[in-house]
Amino acid sequence: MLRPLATHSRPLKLTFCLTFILLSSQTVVADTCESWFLKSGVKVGTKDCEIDCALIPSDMGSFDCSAQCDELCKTYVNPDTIAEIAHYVEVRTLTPSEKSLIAKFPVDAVKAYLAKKSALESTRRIFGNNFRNDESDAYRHFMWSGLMREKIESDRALAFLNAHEAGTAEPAAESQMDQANNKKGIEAAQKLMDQGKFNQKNLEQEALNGLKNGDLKVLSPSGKVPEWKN
Amino acid sequence: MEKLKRITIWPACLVGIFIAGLSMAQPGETYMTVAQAQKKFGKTAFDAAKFKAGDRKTKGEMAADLVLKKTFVGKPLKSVTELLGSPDGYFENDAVPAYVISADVTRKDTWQIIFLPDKDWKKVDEVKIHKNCCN
Repeated sequence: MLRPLATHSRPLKLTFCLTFILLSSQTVVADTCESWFLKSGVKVGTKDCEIDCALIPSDMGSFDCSAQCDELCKTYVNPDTIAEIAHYVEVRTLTPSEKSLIAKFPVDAVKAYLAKKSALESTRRIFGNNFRNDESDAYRHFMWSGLMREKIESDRALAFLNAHEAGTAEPAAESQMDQANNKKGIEAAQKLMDQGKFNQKNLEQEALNGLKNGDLKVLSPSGKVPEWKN
Repeated sequence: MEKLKRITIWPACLVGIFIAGLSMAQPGETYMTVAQAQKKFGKTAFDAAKFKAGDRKTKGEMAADLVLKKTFVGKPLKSVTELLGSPDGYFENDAVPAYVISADVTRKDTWQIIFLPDKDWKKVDEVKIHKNCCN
């Protein structure tokens, strides 16, 4: 068995770029308070985040940090996440429109990236591979857009999805397939959120049902839709 | 004094090797070198017409040569699909040309050849052999 030598892309430029963007963004609070918040272990995105944050013990260096709890709870991004992104992202595959959106909305860009990563992993788990123009392609777009919708507003999610398609030489029919499945993913996520039933498993089952029912657009169908698996 | 130096240098080296090992083991995308591709898929000389008409096995046999000779590097990105046909693989963006080169994609060891664009998405910047599934 040939053992492949793994070489990993480490786009240092992106590390600097993302770090610079995040640090220079007005939405990111001072480093001292970031460290204070990070050490506390309070979770961003929970309904009690601001209360928990306000209760974090402070010292001379962080005595005014609790005044920034609303900002920290809304916008804080773990540095480990940034480091992970810098490690994973092949910066050459970002379109100019995507780069522009990352600069404008860095925190949402991180959420968009994490949603994409989850969608890729989900596609690998269900389909085995990530291919093009087949059912796995439709599923990947549905999942990415649906998972992103849960994290950010529809319009912003759509902006990231459209930026991913813009400025490339992808054939029009293929781009239309992607956009149609993106739209379905956002709609399905919105419906699940409205019903209070949103989770990744339910979204995955919606995607597979959509493929079986012919609701998702597939240019080169293989005719095979796998069953959901954990 | 010499003995003390020896005692401190060796543990330091071992720690260094351990840290280097850890950094090598970090997760990320997996790529194959030309030598590994030659061994796994073959060394057939690249021929655009045969690549386009060929199945995944045929494409795999030419992959190492395609990377080694940098045939497409610096050429327009759209020339890839014009000469090699419709891509069937996927890497990061649907517009990145990617061709599956593993004959049996039902195994959890699927490889593809990818053509990375330059920052303007006009020309081919690099050609690599990437593991589509699974890390």
